[in-house]
Amino acid sequence: MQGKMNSITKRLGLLTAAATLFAGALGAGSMAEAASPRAAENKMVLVARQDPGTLDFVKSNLTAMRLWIPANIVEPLVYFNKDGSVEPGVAESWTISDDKKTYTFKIRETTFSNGAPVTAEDVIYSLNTMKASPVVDYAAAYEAVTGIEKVDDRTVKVTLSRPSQNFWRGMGAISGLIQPEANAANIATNPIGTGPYKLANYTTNSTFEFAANPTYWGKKPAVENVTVRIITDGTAGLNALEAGEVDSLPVITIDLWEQLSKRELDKKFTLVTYPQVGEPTYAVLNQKLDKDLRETIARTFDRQSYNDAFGAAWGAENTCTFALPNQVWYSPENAETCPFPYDMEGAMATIAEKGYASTPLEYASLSDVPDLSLPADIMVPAMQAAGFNVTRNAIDLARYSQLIFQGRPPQFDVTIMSGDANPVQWACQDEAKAGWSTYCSAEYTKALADADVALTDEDYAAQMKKSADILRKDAVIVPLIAKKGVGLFDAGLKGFEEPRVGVAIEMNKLHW
Amino acid sequence: MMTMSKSTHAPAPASGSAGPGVPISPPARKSRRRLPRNASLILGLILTTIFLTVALVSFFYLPSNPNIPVIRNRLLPAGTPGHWLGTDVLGRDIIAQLMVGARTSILVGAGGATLSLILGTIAGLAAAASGKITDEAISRGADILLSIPGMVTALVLAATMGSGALTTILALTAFFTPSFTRVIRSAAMGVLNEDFITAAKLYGRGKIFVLARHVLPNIAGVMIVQFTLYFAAGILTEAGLSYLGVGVHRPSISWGLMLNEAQQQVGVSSPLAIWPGLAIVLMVLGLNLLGDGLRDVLDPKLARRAS
Repeated sequence: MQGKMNSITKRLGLLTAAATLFAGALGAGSMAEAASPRAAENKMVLVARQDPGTLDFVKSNLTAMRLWIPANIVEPLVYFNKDGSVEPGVAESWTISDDKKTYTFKIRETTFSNGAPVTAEDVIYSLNTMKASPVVDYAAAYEAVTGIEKVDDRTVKVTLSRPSQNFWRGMGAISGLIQPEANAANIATNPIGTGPYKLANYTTNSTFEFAANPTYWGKKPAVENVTVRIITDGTAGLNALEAGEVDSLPVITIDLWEQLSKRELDKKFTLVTYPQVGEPTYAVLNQKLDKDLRETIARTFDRQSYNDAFGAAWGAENTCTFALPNQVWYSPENAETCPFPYDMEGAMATIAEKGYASTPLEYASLSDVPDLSLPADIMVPAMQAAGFNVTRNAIDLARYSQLIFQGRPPQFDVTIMSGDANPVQWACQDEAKAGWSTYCSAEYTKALADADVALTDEDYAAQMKKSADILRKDAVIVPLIAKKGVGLFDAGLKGFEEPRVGVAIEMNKLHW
Repeated sequence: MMTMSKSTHAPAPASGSAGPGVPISPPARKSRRRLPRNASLILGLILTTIFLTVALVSFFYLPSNPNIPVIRNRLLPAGTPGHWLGTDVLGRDIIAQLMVGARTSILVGAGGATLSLILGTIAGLAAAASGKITDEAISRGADILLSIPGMVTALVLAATMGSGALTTILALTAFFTPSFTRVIRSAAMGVLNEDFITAAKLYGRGKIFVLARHVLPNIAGVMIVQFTLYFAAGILTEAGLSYLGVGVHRPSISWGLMLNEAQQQVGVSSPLAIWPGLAIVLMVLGLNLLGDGLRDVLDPKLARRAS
């Protein structure tokens, strides 16, 4: 009996061992199938949704360009890290005067990817070119700059009329990118810099091909050859990733989030979220409306419903602060930073008490962009349910742009926008020259100016928080959610780090 | 030259009416006889009646408000109790939206076809009955209008007037009227050459009396058939315009708008696009079958062939 039991036990053991080996072999097989064929070749293929048209980073502010050219090909003078520390870029060192009005940059002894040495003249040319950039955000960094001069062959001094945080931070952004003057004529198709990669080929509406820059001063990129394939159809991009034809979609727009979740791609691939490519979504109320009325409208905005409508909890945060999570003055929705939280009962009581139901309101919304008409589908019924006499003016993009950006006085009472997180866009010196939102606040503008001249990071953060507080309490620009950048990477592709130069994906950090 | 067949074109309220005890003309009797055997007509009538009934019911009853988002119910699948065709991305009931969509699509399609019918009939009759100069002016004007793509007209109107049901009806009217004008002119000219018209003129009847009393009743069949076909085309065009975002918009709902909203979710929830698509197909099929069936019944030549 005992012998029989032993025999059965042995057989079971063998069977178990065989099953384990078989399962292991299967597992190894599936792992082998999952690994990208590019890993062995030290290559990777990424996906872009848009062709930038031009690579001229001085004149273009298109995300399609800003994702790939800065940091990878053209470097700024310095890099600002996530923790606030500053690292050398084209400038190997720098000194800042005590009054924060003089910046002296020591230029790194290196060459551009074409082999030409980086000179003080190139730096002066680059800064002056950016100072004259038609892109307001780039040129804004130089508002306080009064002089850019050569000290010696490797030293450049920048003089400011007043301390400027915008200038210093700009030197770590696109405003501070350094290019050779000799390549000015080719910047639109073949920009050159000191970055870890050089552009080997760019075929419009098809691909970017990057090759490691042999003269790069830093650590060589782990993946030497990178192809960025332009696939405008988002679903096709996801299909390509799932089929193993590409290794990453570093930027996945909001219209694909639900599909991504339903297809469980966030489980099959590495999902990353990062704030830089994100943007705030906010309501804009007509400042001519009574402030109590604006506050009451703001109380009908259900941020959570709006966020839930995208079907991807990881994609956005509710917020009442006009900022992205990487900005020091950002705060998610909470009692302290939301002066007018969602409160339908309170709104209904105020409407009844103050007779706002008799005030006709117009909600301008887009009709031909489905995901941008979604906010109106949520907000308008909520406002009507609260008792507002609101009508929805659904118009196509052309008419919307005309109405919103050129209508003076404002031709709308409420609209929803998504866009750049730069708070300076709401600064207004003169009410007659207010921007498209028509928001104008001397107090807000002064707080921003105070932040710009702040001598310390702490003071800067405090002033920016103050300005954000003024903005939210005025209830003209009413932040709703902060959408994040979302990317998917092959599980074998590691090393993604949050962008440091604007939204640029630093490809040299990625490795198999 | 007055033959029996010609007498079918004669103004015949007495012979055409079919009240109890009133003798009916042989062709009308044949039409009535063919009626039950005309499968196209019956199927078309059933489909059209169903959608018209749904549209009418939507004025009095809806399972829920199709414009109020209920986020917790978003993207419920078909078969969910209380939401038998599911819900959309904002948790709005699909059946309620289809019901309101039927109302709008039918209103816009019928509105465009009706206005075109009225204007096209006036212009077509004027071209047929007036002199050569008027005829040439109207005919060439119609040719010019026909050479402009209808979608372009619609987009221009939407851009200048703003999108909405009224704009869509006007766009359809601009699109369909030239075609109606040509058809009506052609049909009216055929009738105006008949002997009984000459007799009426000799009897001293005025031009407008002849057109109203003798021509119109004799081209009514053509008008009805054309109306049903353009009604269907109107629904399709409205769906196309709303899909492009230049048709109706919320709080109005049309099947085209539902398709527009569903396109973002096609990879996530395909039925969202299937239901309004199916509604459009069935409604248009119903109207086309109805038009074909009516043509079979009302066309005198087909009637003669059948007899």
